[in-house]
Amino acid sequence: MRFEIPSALLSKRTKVRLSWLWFPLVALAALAWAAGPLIQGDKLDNTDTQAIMKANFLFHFSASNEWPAETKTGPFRMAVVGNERLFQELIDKYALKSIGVQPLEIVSFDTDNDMQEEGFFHLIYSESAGAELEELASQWKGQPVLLVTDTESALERGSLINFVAVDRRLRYEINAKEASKKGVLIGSRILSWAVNSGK
Amino acid sequence: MKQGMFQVQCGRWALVFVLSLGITQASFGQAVVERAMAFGQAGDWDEALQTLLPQMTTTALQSDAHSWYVLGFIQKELYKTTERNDADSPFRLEAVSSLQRAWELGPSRDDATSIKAALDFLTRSYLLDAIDRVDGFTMDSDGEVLALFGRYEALVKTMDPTADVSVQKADVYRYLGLANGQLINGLEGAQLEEEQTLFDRSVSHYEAALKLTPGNYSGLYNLAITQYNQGVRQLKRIDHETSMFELMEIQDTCVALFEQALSPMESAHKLKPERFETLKGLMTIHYALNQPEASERYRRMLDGLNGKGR
Repeated sequence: MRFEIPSALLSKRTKVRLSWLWFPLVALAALAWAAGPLIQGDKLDNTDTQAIMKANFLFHFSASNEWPAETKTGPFRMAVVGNERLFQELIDKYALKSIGVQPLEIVSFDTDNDMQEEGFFHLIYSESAGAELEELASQWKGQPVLLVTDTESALERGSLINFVAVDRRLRYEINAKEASKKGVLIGSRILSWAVNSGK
Repeated sequence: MKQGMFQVQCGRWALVFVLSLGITQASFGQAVVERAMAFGQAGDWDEALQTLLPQMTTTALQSDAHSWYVLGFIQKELYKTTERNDADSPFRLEAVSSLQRAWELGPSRDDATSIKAALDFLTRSYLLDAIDRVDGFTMDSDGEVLALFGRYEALVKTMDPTADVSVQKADVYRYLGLANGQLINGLEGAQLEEEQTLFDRSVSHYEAALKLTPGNYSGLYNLAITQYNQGVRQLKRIDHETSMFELMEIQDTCVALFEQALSPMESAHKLKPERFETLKGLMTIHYALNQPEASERYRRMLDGLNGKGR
């Protein structure tokens, strides 16, 4: 719609000048409105949601289970294999915490083999599957090491706790008997939230 | 006979008197309007208003479209010069009212064009104010923005009852959704109540926008992002003090939010199947919902897009 200043109220010169001003103003406003956001849209939060959940579960697995007395000296050692983001999450939120009287030490490895010369770990989280997982489990056979995994049929291959998806949620299954044989006593709180602790 | 003649004579004089009075009043009214216009021409809008406004109650001016138009114009100029930054500017409201009155009274063709132009300017000024308020948005100013847009909408419909402003209205709602979402990011510490309020408002604005323009990609995408990010926000609160019970509760809350985010993200994806952001969104939401196969499917589609150099 054309904007017009009534000639009765303004001199001819003013009328012309204001007409010139009005058009760009309207055009600019229309452009600003149509061309896009005046404020930027929210960006997708790239935080690794699984890493947050797993890290807290691992902390609970460390704090709520019982290891043999001979492993209660020095730091409580946790190894994370093949998951750098999980390791970072653990470092960010749990690195300075203690498990009982033991300071928590968290170490990251690219592969299971990298752990071989690194001594004993109370808890190992590995993303290995199949034969690799079986090999890892056999390396720590008879030792009170809580092997935690996130792969199908992991309990049959020597894992003691395995993450599973249930109703779109991250839960875990436990091989409590095997853990007990190795000297790791699974705490009742951990057992109570497991989806399958009967094995 | 003489008495009859006298009565007729008296009647004539009365008619002349009434006509003269009317002409005098009309002339006086016209003179007042012209004087006010002269002040206006000189840029003295205050004096123009003081000259005209008190006379608007007189019979001659009350029903004169031109007088109401001049008054409305003066009030509009006063709004521009003294109340431009006042969203509730009384001069603007009065100008609208005077110009609408002028319109109803049936103005001349010249005046009608100018009245429409003046009303158009004032109408747009409400829209510009609404935009301005969204741009510098602060908590709880949703109502102010919507009220300004409401005035814009009402005025547009006064001038053209068939006008449709639903697209612009959806834009306003969408911007309000964004603005509330951005305020959440600026919250410091654990202001959980404020966060929930802002989140609820953000979602409700997006939903209002989508009701008006259901197939709007930005509305769908931003709604999904808002819901997903709110879930991640809850997860980030997990730390060494979080009990297993709390962890499960937080997870339930997050899964509910992620599930809510999935539907609008899928709808956005249907609208633009090769849009990078949406594919990444779907990959991420499915990952958060512990659905690795679905997440992987979208990751492969993303790889395909990257392969095409997009």
